[in-house]
Amino acid sequence: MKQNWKRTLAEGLALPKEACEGLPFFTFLGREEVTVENVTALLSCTPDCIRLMTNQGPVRLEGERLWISAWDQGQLSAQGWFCRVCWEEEKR
Amino acid sequence: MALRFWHFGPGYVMITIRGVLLEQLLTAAHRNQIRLWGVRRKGAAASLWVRAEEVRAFGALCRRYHCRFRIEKKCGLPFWLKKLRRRPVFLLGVALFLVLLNMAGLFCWRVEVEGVEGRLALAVEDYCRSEGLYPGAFLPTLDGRAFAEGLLTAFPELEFAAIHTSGATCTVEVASKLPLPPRVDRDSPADVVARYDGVVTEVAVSAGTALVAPGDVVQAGETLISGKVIQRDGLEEVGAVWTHAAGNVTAHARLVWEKTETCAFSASVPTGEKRYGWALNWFGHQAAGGAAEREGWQKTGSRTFSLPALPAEVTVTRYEQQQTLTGTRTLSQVRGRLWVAAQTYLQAIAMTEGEVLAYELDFSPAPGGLTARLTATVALSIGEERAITQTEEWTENE
Repeated sequence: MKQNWKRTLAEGLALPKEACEGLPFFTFLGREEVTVENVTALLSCTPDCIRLMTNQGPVRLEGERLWISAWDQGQLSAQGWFCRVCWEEEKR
Repeated sequence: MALRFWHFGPGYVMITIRGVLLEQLLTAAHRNQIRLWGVRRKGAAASLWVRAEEVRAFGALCRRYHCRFRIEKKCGLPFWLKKLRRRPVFLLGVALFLVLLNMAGLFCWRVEVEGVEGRLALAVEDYCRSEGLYPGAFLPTLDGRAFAEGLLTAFPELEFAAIHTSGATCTVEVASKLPLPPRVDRDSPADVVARYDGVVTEVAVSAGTALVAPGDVVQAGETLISGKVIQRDGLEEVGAVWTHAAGNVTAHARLVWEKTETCAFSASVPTGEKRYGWALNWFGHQAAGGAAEREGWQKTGSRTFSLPALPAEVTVTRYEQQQTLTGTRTLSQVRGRLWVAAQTYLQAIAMTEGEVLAYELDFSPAPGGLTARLTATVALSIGEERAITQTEEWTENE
């Protein structure tokens, strides 16, 4: 109910949803850099895979030579060579 | 890289952490507002950068999550200053450099002259140098207002002078006066008189009364056009009006030129031997060396070099040895030299006075040489204006 109220207000005022509802916001810079906003936790970090937790569920960033270049105030930037970005099935 | 520059002031460290709960540790650090960057996983360990002031809080989190951490590298201003404390001589050198840099700013490193060009600009530069404004001059003792006033006094052709100091560069800004056109007097009474003796060939009067006609022989100083205009009532003179006479009187005049030249001569010629002298202006002090001006040596040139990026300049002066030669020319050589001088005079007359109709060149013996006498007949305008002095008659008419 609360989420629906927020969504209605954001849509009515044309506000960005990532700011109102805390949805993850992905920015890709080619295949070399990914910036994800509204990250709540880091699940795992290896050179081949970085798993992040958002309020929409875990996100999996796959690639080669991956590393986290910055993580500050919910915004995580990862660099490397990205091959795949996908959502994991959240265990409920 | 940008984050490293951003955190250079407070300082930052590189930490290697080991443990099972690495990801949980990083998440907890983020929730505790600890800024992390450059996280790289290497097997069971991970390396990352943390601000120096947050290392203590991050260490507490490591202990909570059973991770071991080790500081690998320390970067930033606090650690750099800590290193410098062990090198007092280096710090002393830096302080000395800053003091010298500040002192160097008190001296003039460059002088620029703006507003004029050519010889006047060079003359202004020379004046500035002679009055103490040169690369290396001590600026706090320079009185800009007095200097500008002195510049205006020394150069009457200047209308404005000011000195601006920007950093170590002195800019002398000057502006030259616009030349005023010569004032032509067309009102006061004047006659037109003859400049040379001659025979009048043409008279054209625009104001006044013509006293000569074509064919008349006139002498130098004789009035050609009078400023006195007689007023008549029929044939009876009723008065006179004094005007500024004007007109053109052309005549064939005889111009005479004489020159005497002796056979003996002496001339100063360079022997080809050169010497150079130098003068160094350095921080207001002068040092000179090398050759100097003395008898038998003549200064033939000088050049000033400003040393780049230094408040100093070097002036190199060239001196050439001169030798006085004496000799005797033959009469034929003297005659040739006089002929050349006479031709030069004729060309000058043709350019400035009028057309040369005929000329006669005679040579006569003179003590130790020859005398040339040139008589030229020139068609020229011989009239020139001469103001009329106030007479009793004029006063009565006024």
